[in-house]
Amino acid sequence: MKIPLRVTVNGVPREDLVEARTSLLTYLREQCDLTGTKRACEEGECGCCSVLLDGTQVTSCLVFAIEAQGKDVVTVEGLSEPLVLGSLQEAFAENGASQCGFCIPGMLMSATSLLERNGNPSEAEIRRAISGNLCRCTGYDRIVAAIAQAAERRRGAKG
Amino acid sequence: MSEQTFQYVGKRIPRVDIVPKLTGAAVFAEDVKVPGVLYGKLLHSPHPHARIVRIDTSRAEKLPGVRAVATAADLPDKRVGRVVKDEHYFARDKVRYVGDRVAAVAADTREIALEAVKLIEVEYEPLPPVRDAFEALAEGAPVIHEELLSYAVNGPAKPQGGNLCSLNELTRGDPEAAFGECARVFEQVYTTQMQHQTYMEPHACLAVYNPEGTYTIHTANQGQFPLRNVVAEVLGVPQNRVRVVPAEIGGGFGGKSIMKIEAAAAVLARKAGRPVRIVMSRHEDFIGGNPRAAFHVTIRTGVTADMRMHARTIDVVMDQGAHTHGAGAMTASVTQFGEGPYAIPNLRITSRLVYTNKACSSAMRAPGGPQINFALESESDRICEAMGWDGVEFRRRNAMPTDYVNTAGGVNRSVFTVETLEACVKLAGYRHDQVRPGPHRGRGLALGNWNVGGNASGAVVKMNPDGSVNVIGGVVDLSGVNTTLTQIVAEALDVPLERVTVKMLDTDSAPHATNSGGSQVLKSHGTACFKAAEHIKEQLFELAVDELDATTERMELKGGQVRVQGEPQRAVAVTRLLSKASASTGPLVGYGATGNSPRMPSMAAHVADVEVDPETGRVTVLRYCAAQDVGRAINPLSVEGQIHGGVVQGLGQALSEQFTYRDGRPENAGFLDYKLPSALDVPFIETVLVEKPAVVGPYGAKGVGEPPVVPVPAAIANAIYNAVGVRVTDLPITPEKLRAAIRAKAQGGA
Repeated sequence: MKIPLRVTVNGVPREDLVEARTSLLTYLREQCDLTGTKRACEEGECGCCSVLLDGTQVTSCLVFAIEAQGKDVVTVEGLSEPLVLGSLQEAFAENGASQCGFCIPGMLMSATSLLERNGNPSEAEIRRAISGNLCRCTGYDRIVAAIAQAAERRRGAKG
Repeated sequence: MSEQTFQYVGKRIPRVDIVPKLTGAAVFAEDVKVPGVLYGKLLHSPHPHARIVRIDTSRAEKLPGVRAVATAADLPDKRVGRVVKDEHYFARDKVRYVGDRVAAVAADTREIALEAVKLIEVEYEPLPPVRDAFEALAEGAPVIHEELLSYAVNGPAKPQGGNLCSLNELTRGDPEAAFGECARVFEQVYTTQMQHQTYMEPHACLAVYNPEGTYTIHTANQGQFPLRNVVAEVLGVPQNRVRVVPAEIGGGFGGKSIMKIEAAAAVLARKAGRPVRIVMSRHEDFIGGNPRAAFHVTIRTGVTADMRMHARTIDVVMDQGAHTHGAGAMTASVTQFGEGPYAIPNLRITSRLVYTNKACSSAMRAPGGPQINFALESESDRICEAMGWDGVEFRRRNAMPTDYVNTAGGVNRSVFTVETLEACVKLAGYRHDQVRPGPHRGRGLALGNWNVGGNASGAVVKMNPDGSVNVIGGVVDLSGVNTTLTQIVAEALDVPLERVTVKMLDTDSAPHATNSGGSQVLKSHGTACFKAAEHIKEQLFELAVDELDATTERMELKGGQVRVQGEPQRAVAVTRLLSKASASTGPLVGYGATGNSPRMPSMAAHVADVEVDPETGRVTVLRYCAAQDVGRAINPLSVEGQIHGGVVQGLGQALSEQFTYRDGRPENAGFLDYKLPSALDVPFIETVLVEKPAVVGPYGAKGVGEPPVVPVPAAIANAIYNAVGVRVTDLPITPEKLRAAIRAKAQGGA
C-alpha cells in the first residue's frame, strides 16, 4: 500500500508515493535519484547513509521514509552548488581526506552537523563526532585534519 | 636516474577525481542506472558441510514478479580457481561453507527477490564440519574435496590429498646442522585470526545481456581484465564476448579481486532478458567474503654470540577455508614473508594450505605478511631481551642487504632495510628515556618487508591536435593512481597537469592489464604510461627532423616546443608538428607495455607507543610512527594516505578484529560485533618517506599499498610487552585476553 509523502529534500519540496516499509535511504536513492547517500550495512553501524533530518543527523537506513513527512532532509548533494564546492568539501580536497570516497558523504554530514553545533572543536571532539562513521581507507587521519582546517577557516571568515 | 628537479613528480596534488566523491556524484556499482533493472539475490548454503540431494526451484519461479532463477544447471560443469581449480560457481554435489552459492533469483523488486530465495527448496544431507586446520589434518577427518588430487593446478600449489591442499617448502643452507652451531635456540608458536577486508562498499554489480549475445557487466572489482576472463570461463563463452566496465570502487584491499556475484547476475540477465543488479548485504559480504587466513606459525631461531640469526625454521599452517579462490598469494609468496627483512644463512620455510568448512581465504592487503611478521618481530624482541641485546642494533646486524639472493633464488634489488629502520628510529626518537613517563606505558618497534612488483600492463597515450593528452589504462583507481599517472605523463611530456586526462576504461576499450593490488599498479601502469609518453616524444622528434635540421638525439621537449638541446632558438611548436602529422602520418598515439617484472622488497619500520589499563586490558595507542621505503613519492599526499590507512587496518588486526566461527557457523557477520577501529581508537599517524630510488619503476617509485600493514601487530605486541611485561602470542590482543594474561603473570604465571 502506498502512502503520500511530502518532504523537502535539499531545499526542494517533493510529493511522492512510498510504501510504508521503504527506508529513507532507499527513498532518497531510488525515488529522488540522489545516489550520493550510500548503502553499506543497513544496520545503523557504519554511518555511510547519514543525512540530516530537520537538522539532526540520522542513519537513513534505520528511518522509514514516512518518518520524514513534512520535514527537511539534507543529503551530501545539498552541501554544494553546481560547480562550487562548500568550504568543508574544499578542505577535504586540499587535505587528501578522501580515498575511495564511499564513507565521505556520511563523513561530510557528520562534520556539517558538528560545525553547526561547535565552531571550534578540539581534535577529541572531531573524532567523537565522526566516531559513528567507519572508514577503511584513510585511517581517519586526513579527515580529522580537514574538519579542523574547515573550522579554522570559518572562524577566520567570520572574524 | 639523476637527481633532477621535477615539475609534477613529487608534488602533493589532490586526487584529480576527488570532486565527484565529495559531492556524491561519483558513480559506484550500485549507482549505475539502466531502465528495466531487476533485483538479484543469491541463495547461500546454511550448512558448513553437506551433500546436495535435490534442488527444486519451481515454487520460486511461480512467484509473481520473479523473472529468472539460476542454478548450477545453467552453467557448464567446470571448476575454476587461481591456485587449484576446485570450485564450481554454483555448488553441484556439495556445499562446503555457510555462504557457498547454491542458486540466484531475479525479480521486479528487492522484496520479491528476498521472498523468492526462501521458496527455493534444497534438500541437504548435512556432513560433519571441519572447524579448523588442525581438525582438518587429523587422522580420520571428514574430507572436504574428495577429488582434490584430480583437480587442475595453477602455479606452485602441491596438493597432497585429504584436506591438505598444498605443501610447500623452501630451504637455504642446512638449518638442522646450523642449530647445532648456535649459542642459544628459541622456539615459539604464534597464532593469528581470520580478518575481513570490510571495504565500506559491499560487492555490487549490474549485468546486461545484449541482443548480439554479449554481456556487459558494471562492477566494483579491482581488475576488469582478470574478472572478465573468469566470468567468461564460468559462463563458457569466449573472452571477447564479455565486457566489464569498472565503476568507482568503494575499497577493495584484495577482497574485490575475486569474482563473487558477476556470473550470477550475467546468467540471470540472459534468462530474464532484462538487466540484473545484485548488491550483497553486509551479512552476505562477510559470510561469502574472502578474508585474511588465520595462521599458526611455529618459529625456531638459533643465534650466535655476535648477535646474528644463524638458523631459522618457520612452519606455517594456513586455514584456507572451503576453496582456494585467489589464494595464490599464499603458496607462491612463502619466501616473501618468511624470509622477513633479514639475511639468515640457514632457513627453512614450510607451509601447509589446509581446507576447512569456512569462508574462502584470499588476498587481503599483504597476504600472509602481517601474520608472519607478528611471529618474526615478536621473536626479535624476545631474543634481544633474553640475550641482553639492543633491539635496533640486532635488527641492523641481521638486515637484508641490497642485491641479496633470496631463498627462492631470485635477486632482491634496491633493498634499503637499514635506511628505513634508521629513519623510523630517528622520527620516533627511539630511546628508552624518551618514552613519555607514565605507568603501564611502553614503546615497541617492528621491521617488516613486503615485495612490491609490476604485473603485465599496457597503456595508450594520445596527443590531441592542441597538444593536450588523453591516457587510457585498464585497471581501476584504488589508491589514487589516476592522479599519479597524470603526474608521470605531465612530467614526461612537459604538459601542465590540467591538460592531461587519465581514464581507466572497460575491457573492450583499454589495453590489457592485471588487477589493482599487490602494490604494483604504479610500477606497471606507471612504467607503461611513461613508455607510451616516450613513444609520443619519439614521434614528435621524428616529425621535427626536417624543421630543425637536427637528429632526434639532440632534441628535447619543453614548454610546448621541440627544441635542439642547448639551442633554444632552434625550436618548433608541438601544435605545428601535430597538424603536420594529421596531414601525413596520422594522429599521434603512443603505446607502452610492461611484462611481469620481478618483485623487489619494500621495507617498513614502525614504532608504537601504547598505554595499557591493567584493570580492563584495554590498549590505547598514544603515538604511532611509520617509516616506509618508497623509492620515490610521486605524490606524497597519496603515499601518506596509504600508510595511514594501512597502519589503522593493522591496528584493527592487532587489537580488535576477528571473524569467528562456532562449529562452522559464522558468529559475527556485521559491524556490531566485528569491531573495526573508529576515529576514537587511533591517533594521527606520523610518517617519514625514505626516498632511495629503485632501479626499476617510474622515476624510481616503488609500490606502497601493502607494506604499511605488515609490521603493525608486532609493533603493538612489543609495545604492550614493554608496558606491562606480558607477551600475547595470539591475535587480536583483545582486552579480555590481555587482562587474563596480566592476571596470570601477577599470580606467578609465565
